[in-house]
Amino acid sequence: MANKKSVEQRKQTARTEALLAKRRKLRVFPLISLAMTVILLLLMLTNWAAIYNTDIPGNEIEYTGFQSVSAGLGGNYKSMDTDTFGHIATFYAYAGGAVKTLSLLSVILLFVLVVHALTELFAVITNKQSAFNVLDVIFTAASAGLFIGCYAVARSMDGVMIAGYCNGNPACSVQSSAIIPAILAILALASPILAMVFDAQGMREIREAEVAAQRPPQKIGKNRLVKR
Amino acid sequence: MRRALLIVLLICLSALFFASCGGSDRYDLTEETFFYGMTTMQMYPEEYVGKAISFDCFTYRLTDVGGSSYLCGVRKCSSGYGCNCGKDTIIGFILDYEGAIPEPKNQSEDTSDKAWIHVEGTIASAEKEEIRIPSYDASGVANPNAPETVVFYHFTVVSLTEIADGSGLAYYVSK
Repeated sequence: MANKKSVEQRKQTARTEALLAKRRKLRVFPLISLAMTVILLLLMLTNWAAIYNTDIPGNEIEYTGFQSVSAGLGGNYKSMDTDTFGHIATFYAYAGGAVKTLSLLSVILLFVLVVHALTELFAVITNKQSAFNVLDVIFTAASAGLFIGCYAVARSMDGVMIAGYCNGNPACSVQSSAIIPAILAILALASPILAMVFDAQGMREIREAEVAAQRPPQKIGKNRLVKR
Repeated sequence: MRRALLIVLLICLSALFFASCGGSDRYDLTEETFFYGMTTMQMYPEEYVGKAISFDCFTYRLTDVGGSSYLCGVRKCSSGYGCNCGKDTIIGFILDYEGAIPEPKNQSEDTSDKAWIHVEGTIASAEKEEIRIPSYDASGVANPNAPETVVFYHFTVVSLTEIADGSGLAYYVSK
């Protein structure tokens, strides 16, 4: 009876230690994901669409990801308030459909990023990392897809903006910084995928520890006891 | 916990939504906002009809190929906001005012010594006035056989103040 209790206790201790070790190791991943999501959010402050002209330094007109979101939420694409909307009104005059699509994608993107950040915060606070790994992969992949979509839509304005706004000036082009967070988001996928790999590895270690704890000590030689 | 996160999320989205609803009924164009504000009003005049608008400009008499003249409040500008790519033009409104509007001074010269005024009023309607003016070739000679059309909107002036010293104002705007 006492022996059975002792085996059970050892099993429990092994399980606890393995779990703790695994959690310590895995805790870094949601922190990385959280940091990456915050960086991606901050990168929405960069130019979502800008008229770049090789003839002059800098951009002629531009608006950021957050300004695209502001226009999309309020449906205000014709404002002269450059602080809130950037130069979106000029883009809208020539490429209204693309500007609206870009705003829609930006609103969805912001929503995904905010929910992702909150989820990761929840995972860190509650120490339930493994439960959120799949969600982390889904959110990060969705963010990457949306960033790529934003970049593609912004670049699709190139022809119409050159023909209209730039009067056919070949030195003009529409550029978008959305490609930077798109690449970062793809790289950020490594964090939840690695977390899932380590999580699976940790579970296997726990199972092995449990199996080892269940086996009775084996005698080797005269008085030495070893665990297999 | 989930409730708290949901509240934070809703607060974030609400803040952005309210920031984006900042419509205004008054537009005071400054040196920084003149060109983009004026460009936006020319692109979407229907959005600004009836709104209180004020700006500084110089007077400019535009004469069409038929000999009719229009007294405007304008500034000289590049052909597009942010652009310095030649083909400079003027941007502003045809001024409708019951009082006296100062006659233009050095209107086409590259100098800030012009008849500067500060006007307050509204865009009367989104109906555009198409004015056919003589075009000029590269050497600056007028070509009466190939007129070009410029579009202006009417601005009903409620109050007009002459600006004695316009040296601090940019007669040419590019951004």
